[in-house]
Amino acid sequence: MDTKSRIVLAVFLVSLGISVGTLYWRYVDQENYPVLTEDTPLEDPIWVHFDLSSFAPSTWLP
Amino acid sequence: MNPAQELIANDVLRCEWATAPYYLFSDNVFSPLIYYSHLFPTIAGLLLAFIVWRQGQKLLVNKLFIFLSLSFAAWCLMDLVLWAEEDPDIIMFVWSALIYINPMLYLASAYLLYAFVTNRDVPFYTKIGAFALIAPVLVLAPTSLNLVAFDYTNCDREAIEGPLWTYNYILEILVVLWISVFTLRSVLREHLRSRRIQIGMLGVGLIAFLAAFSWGNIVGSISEDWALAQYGLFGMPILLAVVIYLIVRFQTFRIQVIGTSALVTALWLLLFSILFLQTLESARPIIVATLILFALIGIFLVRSVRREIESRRRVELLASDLEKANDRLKELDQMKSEFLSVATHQLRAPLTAMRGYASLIAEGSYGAVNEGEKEPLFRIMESGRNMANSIEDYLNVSRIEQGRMKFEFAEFNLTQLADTVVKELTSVAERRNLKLTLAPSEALSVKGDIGKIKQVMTNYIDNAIKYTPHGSITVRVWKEGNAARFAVEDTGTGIAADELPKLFSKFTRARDANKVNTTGTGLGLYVAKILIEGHKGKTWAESEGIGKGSRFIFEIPA
Repeated sequence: MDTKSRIVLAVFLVSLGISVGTLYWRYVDQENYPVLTEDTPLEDPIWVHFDLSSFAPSTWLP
Repeated sequence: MNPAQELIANDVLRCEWATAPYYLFSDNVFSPLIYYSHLFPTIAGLLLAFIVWRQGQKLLVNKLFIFLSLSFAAWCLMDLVLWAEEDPDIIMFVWSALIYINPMLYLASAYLLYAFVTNRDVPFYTKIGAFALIAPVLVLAPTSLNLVAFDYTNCDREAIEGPLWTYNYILEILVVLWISVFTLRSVLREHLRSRRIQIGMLGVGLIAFLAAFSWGNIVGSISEDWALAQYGLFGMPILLAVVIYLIVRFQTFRIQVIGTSALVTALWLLLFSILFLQTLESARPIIVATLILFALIGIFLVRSVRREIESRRRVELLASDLEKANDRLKELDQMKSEFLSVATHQLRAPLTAMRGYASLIAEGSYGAVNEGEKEPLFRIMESGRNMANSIEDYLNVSRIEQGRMKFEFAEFNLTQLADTVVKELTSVAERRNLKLTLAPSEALSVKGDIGKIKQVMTNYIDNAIKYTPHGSITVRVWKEGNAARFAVEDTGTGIAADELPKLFSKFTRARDANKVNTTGTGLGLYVAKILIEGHKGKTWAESEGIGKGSRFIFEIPA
């Protein structure tokens, strides 16, 4: 493997580590996610919550 | 307390779920098929990854295959956690983490096929492109675009997948299409039939594996019936069967045929796992699938074992023939060395007599000799000396090869020895109008075999005389640190830089040596090197280039 490929691999692994770490922090540490029940159903489970605000950390940061 | 637990505590939800020891085993997994569909491909994939890793982890295709198997095993185990676990935190974390493995599985499959077909790594810009495709997943995975919410409707314990999963499924479909087109194109372009079959089988195996996997996940995602998705996992055994066939039939991944027998273990595990099925009804389709798989792999294994036994028998016969030929060669080599030794001894004795009598005649011991007669006599003596040197070289090589070279170490004066050799060869140099001198040197005591050192000195000076058409030869002896050095410098033909390292090898002569001297054997410097190495010393030559003279040096501990 050449040096350039190693750099790409390293960047990928670091990004993956940060991303997984953030996931763990959000779901397991902060328990930050909405729960749906029969009383609070979503009409379209896939698209309903998709808007630009999803990108904002405020949607899931405590 | 997580949001779901709060709802349960407040009596909003009335779901009861079993706890899952080790995240994997619980009554929440309602069908044994789920364990079967997850654990068998996991174990089989891990086993194959281990075999490939043991036998050739350096090849790119093998690395990619190992990565693919491990990723798939990780996916299966994580998916099993989703079935068994009751804690919504864990379910949300594991489910959202699956988004990393999916695109990597697909891209690794495409990478594997490309490396297998082309026998080379993908171009750098393609790697950047692949990274760019995965980058949105890495960045957006922790946001609500990945999982929208945890669904407790009807106590389902499911996550609601967001648009990032749609992106993932589109990516999966595109990669499967690319693999299909690339396989077809590669098969059509390949001229070698066996290679065409290999590419076709690996491509079809990968497509079956990925298509089954995609189908299971996409259908599960849309219909929210994740039990259906379990059948998608049987794509791995299909790929496994194809890979086993490729290994056995074509030695793909450079795995030894015998390694495939380890795969039988996977089949044992498969049969063993059927014991855990609760009803015969649910076992029937699995037994049928297992039987078909077992029958196919069994045929290939039996054939491969038969082939291997035959080839081993052939190799054993060849090895036996080779051993006999080797013994015969050793015998012939010994006879050659003995013959050389006897022949050269027989030659040396009459030669000594010829040289001795020629010398006596030239000195006038048998009556006055006129000037006209002296020249032919000197030529007889010189030719005799050259021949004696050549014979001595052959004898030495013969001794070296037979391991009979012996050294008798004693203390002596190296400068004095150099002076003796110079005096002995002065007349030879003068007849060629060369000036041979010993540069003023201090007495230098060394421990060595005086006969052998004298032979090396004679060889160096003799060579200098032969390869110096005019000019002078200077001999030097000096101390350098803890070593004594002896050097012969001449103003002769010189040596090209690329020839210098080869001069001390057996039967090696400088490129244009024959133009100046036709009597060399190419053994003198080789023998000199062996003799000096026997003194824990070293030999080397220096030259500024063709026509610029040369310098031959040896060094021994002082």
